[in-house]
Amino acid sequence: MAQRDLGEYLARISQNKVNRRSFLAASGLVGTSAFLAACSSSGSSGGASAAPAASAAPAASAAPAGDIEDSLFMYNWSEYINPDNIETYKAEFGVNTFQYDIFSNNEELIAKLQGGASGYDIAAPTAEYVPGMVEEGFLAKLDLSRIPNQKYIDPAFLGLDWDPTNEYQLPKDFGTTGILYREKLTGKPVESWRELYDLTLGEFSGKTVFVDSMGDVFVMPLKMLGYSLNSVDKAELEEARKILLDLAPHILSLDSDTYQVKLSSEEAALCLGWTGPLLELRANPDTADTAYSVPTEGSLFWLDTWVMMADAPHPNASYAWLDYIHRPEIQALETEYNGYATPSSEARKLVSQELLDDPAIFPPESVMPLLEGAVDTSGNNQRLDIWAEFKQKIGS
Amino acid sequence: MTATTSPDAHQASTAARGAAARSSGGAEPDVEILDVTKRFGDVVAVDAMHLRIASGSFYSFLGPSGCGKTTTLRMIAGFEQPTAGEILLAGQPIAGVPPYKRNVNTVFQHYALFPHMDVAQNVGYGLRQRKVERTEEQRRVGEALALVRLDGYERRRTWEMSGGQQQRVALARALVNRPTVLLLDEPLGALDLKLRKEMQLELKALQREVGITFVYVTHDQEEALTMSDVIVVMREGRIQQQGGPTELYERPVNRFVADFIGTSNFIPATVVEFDAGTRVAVARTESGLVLRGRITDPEGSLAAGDSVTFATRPERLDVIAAEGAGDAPSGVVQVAGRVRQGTYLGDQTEYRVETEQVGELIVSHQNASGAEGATGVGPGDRVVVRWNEEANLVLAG
Amino acid sequence: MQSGTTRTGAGSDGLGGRIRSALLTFVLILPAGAWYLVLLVAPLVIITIFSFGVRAKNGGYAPAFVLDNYGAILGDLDKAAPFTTSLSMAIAGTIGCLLVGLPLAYFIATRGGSRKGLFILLLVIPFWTSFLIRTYSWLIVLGPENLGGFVGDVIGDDSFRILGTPLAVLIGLVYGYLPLMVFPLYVTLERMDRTLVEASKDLGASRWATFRQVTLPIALPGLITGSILVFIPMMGEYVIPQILGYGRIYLVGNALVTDFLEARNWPAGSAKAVVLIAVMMFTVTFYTWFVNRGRRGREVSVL
Repeated sequence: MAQRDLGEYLARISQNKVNRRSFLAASGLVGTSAFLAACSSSGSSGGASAAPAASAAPAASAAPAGDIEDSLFMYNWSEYINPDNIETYKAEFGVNTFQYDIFSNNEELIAKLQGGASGYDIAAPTAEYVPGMVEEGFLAKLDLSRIPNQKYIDPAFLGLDWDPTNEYQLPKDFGTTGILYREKLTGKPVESWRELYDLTLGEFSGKTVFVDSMGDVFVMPLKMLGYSLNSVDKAELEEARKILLDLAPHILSLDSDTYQVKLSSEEAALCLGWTGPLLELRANPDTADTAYSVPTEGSLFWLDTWVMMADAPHPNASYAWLDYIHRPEIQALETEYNGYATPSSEARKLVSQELLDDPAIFPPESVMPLLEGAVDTSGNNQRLDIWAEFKQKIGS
Repeated sequence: MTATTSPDAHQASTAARGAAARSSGGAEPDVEILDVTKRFGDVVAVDAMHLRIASGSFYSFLGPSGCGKTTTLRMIAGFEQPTAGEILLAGQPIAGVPPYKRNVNTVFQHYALFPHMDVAQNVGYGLRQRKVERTEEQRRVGEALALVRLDGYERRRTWEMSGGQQQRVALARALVNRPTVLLLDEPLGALDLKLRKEMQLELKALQREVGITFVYVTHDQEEALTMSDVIVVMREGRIQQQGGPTELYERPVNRFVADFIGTSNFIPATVVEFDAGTRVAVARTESGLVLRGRITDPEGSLAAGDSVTFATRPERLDVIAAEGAGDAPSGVVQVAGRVRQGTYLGDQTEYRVETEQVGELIVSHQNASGAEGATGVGPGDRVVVRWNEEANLVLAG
Repeated sequence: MQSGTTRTGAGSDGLGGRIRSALLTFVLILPAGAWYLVLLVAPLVIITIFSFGVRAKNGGYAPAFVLDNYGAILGDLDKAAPFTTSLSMAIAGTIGCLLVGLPLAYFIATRGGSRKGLFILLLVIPFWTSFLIRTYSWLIVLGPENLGGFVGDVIGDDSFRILGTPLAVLIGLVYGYLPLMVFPLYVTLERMDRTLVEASKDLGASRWATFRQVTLPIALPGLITGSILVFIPMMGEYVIPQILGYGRIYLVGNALVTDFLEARNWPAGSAKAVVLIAVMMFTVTFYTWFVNRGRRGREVSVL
């Protein structure tokens, strides 16, 4: 096993893309570096007024109604937009001030909106938070005629529960929750929740990590039992509880931030987690045996979305952005940059085959029907009680 | 003040090892400092010091700061270890014995009273370390406080008390343990002048009463003269002279002692002849004035041509208006001069007289008759200064 | 008559002076007072109000007056577990900080000599880097490849581990908060008159007796301040149990994160926060009373 040193280790922590859903990393390390990056990029933009490139831009997009303002205020996860795309946008549309502020969880975004006028134009909440935001009147109804490029979005991502009429959000990126494992240690593919359950209770007791995220952890027992992962049925949840409490003593760690480190040191062999660190683990010869599977019983797919604020100070620049970002070539650059799957079917054609074939990024067609989107169940007390009980019993 | 000096105290020289050995038949010494040297890095703080401190007496280490007096005290207390030599306490060598096992106690310069304890707790501290029974502790604390006239102050917080009272608490705290030797490190330094004078007398009386050997460190010659049986004058780690106050004042063995204890007029001269029997030297100053006097150092010897210094105390000199002064009688030295300054000090008036023959002389005139200017001279007046040859102290070098 | 006039004049003058001085005092206190009000009192009031509310439909807070949030914590022993775990970890951490910090502060204050500044600097330098990075570093130090594995080898138990155990959390807590213990202790010990120690030895007390009877009581104000400074943040600690405890040590801080960020139930979280504050206030008050008993009318605070 490779001896890790601190530099490599910290670099890994600060570079990993797991931060998209990780409270700690996003609020601390990565948040800082991303913040610095954001500062420097907006700093450089201030000086370089983008006029020359604007005329050279292809006239592909429909002329937006009204003048485009010279500023855009975005509220987003850290390192979630390709900086090159930002520069191009600024040059093309003459937007001099592109402010990129970072939130580390949806709650932070919502809290800011609840505090009154946020001053932001656009944001990227996770889909299950959209209905609540619509209900609170935070979001603008989108005029799709001003976003012609949304036609490239795969119809599979339209009309979903979160926004049945496709009026408040545009899909941004999506991914799955599944099983990360070291094939060298397991000796065989681990492709179902049931297998994960058996291995954790048996041979790999104390070698399984779960991400510290209630919504994702509930996927396992509920899908194992064949229920909806959004179930709030008392009896179903009680069954799920038993499974979770069976597992709790055998779990090494609840960890959303450094689970890739535990996998790479072989302290853990299995992980209920996200795909973020996969590319990096596989790139290292020592951990090239790391694999990811979307369990056969089905799993969760998460979707981050673009929304526009009801009180967006720069609506024209916002529409320009939303249309711009859905250009297939721009979407493809996004995927190459952040390693998350794009819902744009046209952009998929431009993404490298390597990424397309990676089940961790683009779920195979076969599992697509087994995927279920999450709805906001955070108000369900039974789930919360189970979650708290589970957390207290970890490792004991 | 009469000096009740032991034979020890009369040995007057740093080199008087033989005399020390001879005299040890007197009072049993409480502390013996045998050839002790203490170095801090390259600095020699105490240099081959040899001293016996007689039991039951009041010793003072006197000298300017940095003379090694406090270091010596700290070696006796056990806070410092000698670099070389040996210290005996009540006849026993104490090298390697930690401070808390030595039967000596110290009164510190700034009292070092424990701020978190009241007076009784402070005073009883040493007794508690010795596991003295509680009632016994209370009794002895009461006694010690009575001794320093602080009865009834048991429950007071020390920081609420005046400097003098804190001083007494510190004394009581040390004395209550009945140490063989009590060490006092400039304990009166922080008090104002009047209180200091009072405390000096009180300390002396206290020492008589308890009969414990006191070793007192001070840089204040007056303090040392007031209280001590024996004063040990130190300079740069070496003992210059030791003896009773009278002896030190009347017969300083060298210029440093003559200058440090009291005030002296110094007149350099060259020996013309020296009588080893009477120990009287005749010498001539550069201006041709011939002076006669007895050498103070009992060990000292002079030969014609040696440089010497004649020292005289200001109060032994008289100043008289030049007009009608006439010639000096036989055995009296007379030099002419002009008063540069006259300072009225109440009990005395101090004149600074500029002479041609021997430079400036300080003359101290006791205002015994009360009236100011009984001498009838003032600044600018031509005067003669006279003194009896007996007042001449001849110092080698 | 004249003197009467004068007196009246002086009186009104004095009154004016008093008003002016009161006004000046008010103006001078205003910034600190406002700061105190806005940053300390207001949040406290807000969470107290929130703690009686209910969860809004889409998460957050909706006004109400219910006691359910407290009932949920106090009515069920299982749910109070994070509080007892936090309390025991914070107490253990405070004791740990004392055991490490007291000798350290004593050493620097008494033996530091001219290098005191250097020692203090060495103690501070790690704290210029992010708390998170420093905590992550302990993952490596205590990890199975290093200290954890080494100790395992020594005691011949392959399954031995430090990470993910209360010990790891304890080490993290002590490391993370040590300076907050050392500084107040150092200040009191540094200010302490060194001759007091000599006086004690001179009066027959051995080194240990001197430490116990003189140094420790005099360092007590610093000790109390330090203990409180480390105890309070330890009670609310979230990051260290998460990283070094592998999420296996579930403290109030972690429960709060769950409430606010996962359940998005601000009232429930606020109630826990209020209970946490109450527990801390009780503990700190009891502690201060306990160590101060028998000490009369001495000023306590050093900061």
